[in-house]
Amino acid sequence: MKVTAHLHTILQRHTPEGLKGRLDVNIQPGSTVEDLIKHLEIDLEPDYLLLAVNGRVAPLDQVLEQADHVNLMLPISGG
Amino acid sequence: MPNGYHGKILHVNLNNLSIEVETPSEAFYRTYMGGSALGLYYLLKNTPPNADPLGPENTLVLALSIVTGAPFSGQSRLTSVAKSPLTGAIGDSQAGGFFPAELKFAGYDAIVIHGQASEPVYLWINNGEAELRPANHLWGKNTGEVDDILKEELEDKNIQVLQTGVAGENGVRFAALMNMANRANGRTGMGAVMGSKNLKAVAVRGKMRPTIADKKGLNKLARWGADEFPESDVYGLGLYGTAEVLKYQNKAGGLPTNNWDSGAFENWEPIDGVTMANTILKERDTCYACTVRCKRVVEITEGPIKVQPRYGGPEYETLSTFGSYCGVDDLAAISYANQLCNMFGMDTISCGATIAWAMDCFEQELISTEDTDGIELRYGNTEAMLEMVEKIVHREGFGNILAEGSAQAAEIIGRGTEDLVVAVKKMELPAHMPQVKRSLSLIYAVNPFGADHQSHEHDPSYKDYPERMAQIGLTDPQPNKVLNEEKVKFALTTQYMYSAMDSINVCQFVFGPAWQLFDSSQLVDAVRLVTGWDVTIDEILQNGQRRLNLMRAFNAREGIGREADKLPKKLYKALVGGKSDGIVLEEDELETAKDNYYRLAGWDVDSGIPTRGTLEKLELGWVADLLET
Repeated sequence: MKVTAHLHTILQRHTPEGLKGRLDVNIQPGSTVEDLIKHLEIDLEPDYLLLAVNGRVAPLDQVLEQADHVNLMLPISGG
Repeated sequence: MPNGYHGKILHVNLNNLSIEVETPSEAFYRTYMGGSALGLYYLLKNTPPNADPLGPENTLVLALSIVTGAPFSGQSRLTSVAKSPLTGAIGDSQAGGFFPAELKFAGYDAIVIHGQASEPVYLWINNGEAELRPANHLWGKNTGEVDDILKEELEDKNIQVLQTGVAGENGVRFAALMNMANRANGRTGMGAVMGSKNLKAVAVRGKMRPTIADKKGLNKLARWGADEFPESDVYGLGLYGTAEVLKYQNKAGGLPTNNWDSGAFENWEPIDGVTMANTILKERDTCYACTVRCKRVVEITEGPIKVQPRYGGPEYETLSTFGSYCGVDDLAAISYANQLCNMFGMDTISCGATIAWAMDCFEQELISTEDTDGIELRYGNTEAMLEMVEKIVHREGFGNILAEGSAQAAEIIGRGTEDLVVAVKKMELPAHMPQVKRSLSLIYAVNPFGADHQSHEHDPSYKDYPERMAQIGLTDPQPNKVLNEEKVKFALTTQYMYSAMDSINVCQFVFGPAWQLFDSSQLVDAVRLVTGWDVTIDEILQNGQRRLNLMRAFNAREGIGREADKLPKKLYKALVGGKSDGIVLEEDELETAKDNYYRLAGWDVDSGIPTRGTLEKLELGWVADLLET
């Protein structure tokens, strides 16, 4: 199945392909957000990331569905 | 006819209840732009040195900017400036909400408040007409009640109200100004200044929208922001609020815990932004015309602690100061402390941090139940914390001492409690630790109004956002835990940028030199499109430099210079636990950085005071004259 991953600026530097902001990804049905992070080979602990699926706060073990939009973010450094 | 602003400053003299309108030139507006720089101009002109911050000689300026109210994200901000009753130095604080834009629509760019009324009054501004009205019936009421009463009395539910709360009436030195009953000009005690003037509130309403020089261009910029937001680094702020950063800070060993003994809080998870989003978050709120919607609204209807949504919800700073600083892991209690601060008008940072300092004193047996009205003021004692918040508001018992802020409270108590104060220039430190982001140690020390986390960009951004940093001439990224010459340049340059943003009055989550939605060049665009002025990034940075020099000059006149630019003793003690275990700051490193910083800023290295040459370059020769009289 296909989902869209949105990588926010800092994370774009942590993928094997380098700067990529938005990726269409094919993953196995039943995959979770954590599986997607592993699939993307992001070199950061999944636990460090802020997550959203289709614009809503989501946990690492949320099961993804076809055409989901997944935002993977690191927190901002000020504020 | 100016674009973006009215060219009208309202002067309110509370000594004789008179009101006048001043119409400064376009050159004046271009030089100061609004907000903090404009406020400092009036403060320096009107308040003599050594004035009592809570006396009639202090001048309180409520200032918008040349862009406030224009239709784009991040512009609805209000700056308040006065001499601070907490620090004795310059006081300066910003807030968002709907009040700032509505004040612009009511017909004014700023309100300069002089003197002191003999009886409580409030100011009502309606489509350019301003009048003072009696406010005895509002005195002693909480912020939500005052909001309701004024809307009913003025027969318009859409008016916006800025007010001082009961804490400000009682002269709590870290009292805040509140608008919407949940947005705070929190820091440096501006609510106490307004309370001392017997000015309870400012209510505004209007339809006087200034023209925009290039409306089409501005719409395009605003649309870019809305379209880009879901892909931007502030998207998480919309979902999680500022609380998104709590877990990350804790993992990095940068979450101040037990009054800064440690940078790691074992029980962080119950007070984290994700937990809040999944449990008590009722909705997300916003400021006028902003797409980000970072404000939290929480509600608790069951259990021993009830929390009302009209008082908003805790930010990261509040979760830390009432949470990890105090060893408290109860999200409901922290949310209730936040509600009390918003109901009564207090800065959540200074309030929580002052209680944490008292807990530290209690744990170390420097104070006892004899001092604390019988309360076991220990880390993690949630009930004691909440009880102390209410005592501070009403200046009851031990609360009367804590209402002075931790530094002044320590001066009253003595017994070594001074060594546990975590403040700079008597203002309590916010929840970002210089031990793990080293440029914060410099900016905390030198910042004119005390330690502040929103006065420059934090260290990780230098390497994380190289393209954006290059826009302001920063091209040599440095690691987080160094404080070398290049890091000093990074600190000062980004301080100029943040300083400008506090005069142009834009939100530092929406505009900025790093992770924000709009970058530095887009701030230039926004000012150009609204005003029609041909500004450049250099002019914007110079505006920031001007405001910083005005603040230093104000402090110099009060006898405050380099000797006050120092960190509290506790920061030179090794942290315990977590990833920052054992990290300790070096005093020599900071002193060397200060030498470099003053030199780069064009200030006298020995005194830390701006030189005449530097002030004249910034069109501030009149300030140099003031310093010499």
